[in-house]
Amino acid sequence: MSTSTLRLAIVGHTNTGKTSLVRTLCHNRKFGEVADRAGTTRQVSAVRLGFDADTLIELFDSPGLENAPHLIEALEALPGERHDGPDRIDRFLDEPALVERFDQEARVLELMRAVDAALYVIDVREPVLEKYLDELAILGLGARPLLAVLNFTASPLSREQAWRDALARVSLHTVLSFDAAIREPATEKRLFDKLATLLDGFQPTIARWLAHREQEEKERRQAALAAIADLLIDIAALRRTHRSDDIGLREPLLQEIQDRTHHREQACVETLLALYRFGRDDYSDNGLPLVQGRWPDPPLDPATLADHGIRTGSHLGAGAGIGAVFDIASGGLSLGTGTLVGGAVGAGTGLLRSAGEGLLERARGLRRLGVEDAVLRLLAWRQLHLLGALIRRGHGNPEPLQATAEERWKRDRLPSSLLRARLRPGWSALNELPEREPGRERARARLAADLAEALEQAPSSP
Amino acid sequence: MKSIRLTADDWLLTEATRLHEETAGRRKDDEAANRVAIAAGPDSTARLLARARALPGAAKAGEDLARLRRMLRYCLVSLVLLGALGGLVAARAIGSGRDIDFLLASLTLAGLPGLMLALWLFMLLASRRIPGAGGRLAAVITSRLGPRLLNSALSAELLRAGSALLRKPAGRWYMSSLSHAFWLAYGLGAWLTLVILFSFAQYEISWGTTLLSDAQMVALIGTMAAPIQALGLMPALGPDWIAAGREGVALDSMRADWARFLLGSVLVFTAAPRAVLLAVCAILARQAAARLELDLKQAGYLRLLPLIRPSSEHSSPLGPSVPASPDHPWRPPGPSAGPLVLVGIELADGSDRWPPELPGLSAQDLGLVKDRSSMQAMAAALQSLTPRPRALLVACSLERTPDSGTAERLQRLADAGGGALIVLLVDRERLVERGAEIEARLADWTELARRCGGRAGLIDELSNPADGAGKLAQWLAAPA
Repeated sequence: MSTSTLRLAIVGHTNTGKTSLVRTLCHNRKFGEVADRAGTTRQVSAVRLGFDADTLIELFDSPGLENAPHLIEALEALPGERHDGPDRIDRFLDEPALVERFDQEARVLELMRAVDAALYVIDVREPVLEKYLDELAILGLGARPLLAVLNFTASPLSREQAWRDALARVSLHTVLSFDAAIREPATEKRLFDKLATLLDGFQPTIARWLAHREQEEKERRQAALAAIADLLIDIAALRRTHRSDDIGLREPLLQEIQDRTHHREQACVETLLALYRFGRDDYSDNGLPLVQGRWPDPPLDPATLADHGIRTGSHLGAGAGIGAVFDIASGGLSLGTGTLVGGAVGAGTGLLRSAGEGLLERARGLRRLGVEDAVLRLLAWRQLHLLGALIRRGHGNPEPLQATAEERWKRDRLPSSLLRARLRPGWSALNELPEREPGRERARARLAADLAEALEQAPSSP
Repeated sequence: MKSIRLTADDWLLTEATRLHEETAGRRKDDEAANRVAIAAGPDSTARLLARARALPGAAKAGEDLARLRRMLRYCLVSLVLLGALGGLVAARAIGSGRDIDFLLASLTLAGLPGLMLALWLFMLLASRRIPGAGGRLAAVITSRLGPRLLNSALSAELLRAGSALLRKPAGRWYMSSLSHAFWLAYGLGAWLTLVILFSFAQYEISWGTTLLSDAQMVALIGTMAAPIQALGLMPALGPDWIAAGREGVALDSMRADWARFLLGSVLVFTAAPRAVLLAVCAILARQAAARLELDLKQAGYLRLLPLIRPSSEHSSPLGPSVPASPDHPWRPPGPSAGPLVLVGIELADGSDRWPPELPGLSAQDLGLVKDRSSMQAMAAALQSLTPRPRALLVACSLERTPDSGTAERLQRLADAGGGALIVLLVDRERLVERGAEIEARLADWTELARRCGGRAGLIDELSNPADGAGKLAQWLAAPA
């Protein structure tokens, strides 16, 4: 489907968060330069938003307006029709001396003439000064639809109401609160919905972009939950064994488990940050509590019993099948002995590989080490907390996220998929002999669904 | 948009890279590979593949893939040999004596493979999935043998990816074709063994039943014979001939026909269907392999896509940079008899807190500049002052970001008043509340004041008699 590209300028007074807003809208924290000072953006920069090689929206970040009070005087002094704003701006742009004097503002006005609409960004912590209203009056001469975006509305110093009143007095009623440090998908949608009401011709473009964003958001969230589920399964199934009489080996193995768990968590954090297009410096975490190397293995746990049953049954079936081949190959002379023996051997193997594995290891003088439940809960809650924060974090937010030290996930009992993972070292990519069994994918999907429910309850701050 | 066609090797390499990066994190030195990916064209799959190929270690992984292919070939050959050996053993067991029971022999050589075939078909139709139990077996074999054979940094992930590939349609059809190859080898092994046995030894082939009636058995055997006769593998023989094959009544002249019947049964009921299915499954495996694609919704791919896109999200500066405005030379203080004049600009809620306290200083308060008209009035008032002010003290809020408009206002006021220009910064506590960096903002104001030919400082420091007043006095006494 072909739709025309919407060209959108981001304008406003210097240091109001224009570049941060662009970063948040294009989900790219590397766009432009952000600093708490004037003139950080010295050029008009463009960024294209689209998909499948189609550009739907082109955002133009602009240098901040700094000298509106004197510019408005210069504009008023120009000859020409008083009420023809675009003509006045064209005359201004044709005056080299004025363009040189108001170089920064001239670029913004030139941009205003080239775009379809503009977002005027306001730092609502600022008082409503005349110079800001002058800017609105000047931008109004561009004869382009203008949407006022109120930034920093979450600040306790916000003067949002004063700004809304002031904007209403200059007949600017299309106003939206959009804190660039917070990325609310619903707010982003509201912004484009408001633009759609101002720009009839671009409604299909905006609708396509919103549909794409929604789909992208959904896919990203599902991928993130699957990544967390992967992490938890890898850690739950991580195990090392040592001879019980070799106490000296226990500490190095525990250290190895600790290191591997930490690195695996780091990899997951990196994945989550990258999915939401943030970098490692957006997150600050602390270490994991020391791994003690034990976990409860309740013998009557339904998931454990079911797992033993499934394994034993499948081995019994395979053994009986092989025995039956022997019976038939012998022309029936073995009278079913093959099937019987095969079934028994299969069932025995199945039992040994599941329930009896631990006993067998003990009989061989081996002891298992792994990660205890509390660490799993902490890992899960930390990742959920991070994901919850990333979903709402604006790309213009310079403050790093802090890892939570709480572990408030599944305090009563771990999900069955993780209990199963405990019994299947082949499910962990961190074990020496990865033997991915088919059940892992199903367990991951179930765990991701569990995590999705918990995500709704995870408190998060962007 | 249709993705590029991936070979199994391409798929395995890209998937193994993803699995590795999801578990161990992205390599720090992948920038070059990302650039290669961007140049690989518009297709995301092509970019991911190009990136995987360009990463350090891809060549070693390629060698591992070649080893894996060799291992699979050996597995295939071993499986075929095992099947042929099974057929040989089964046929040899049947021909261990000189009397062969036709029905039991058929059950062993055609019934068992037929049962397995029925089971395969049932699973195919009932579960609507391609039966691939062999895939699990192959996964177990490769997981055991793989670590001994593979030695690249991606070896563990290649095995995991291989196991996943065997669970995909391409892998399942491939494993099904292996299963058919096994039973085909079984049938052909048995057939060849029987041909040899029947050629060089004499066997008595008959049938019999204890529970069932002869008529039922004749009908059953007749049904079995029909397709073999239709294919011309044995002469057309009627119920009387079958009945004559009943144990104890066989005629010597019928021996060869019964042998042909048994050989035909092995060919028609064991080898032929397996050969057909082997061809079908091989074709389907090939077709499914041609449709192999990456699941771009996996976190490991999804996070890479923005990095390897010649993005819609790359900024492109338009036009030259804005030049910096020229500096104004230092404004020396006016006559020492002149007053200090205090003005406020761009202050929030200024009237409530105006004028600010200036301990130890006496300044003439001219009020606040709030808009253009008050600015003009202030400039006129400053111009009319007699004697000329020694210095103009302009109170500005530290909350405001210093900009060129403020600079121009400061210049106009300083030009109108004459004397030194001192910017007194207020609202420090409000800037702290914003969480901004005081030092950086103070430096920006100091720079702005310098460009206007003046000085700037925090009001609570400058008006502090202990040291601030000293600093202010120094500014006023020592120009330049």
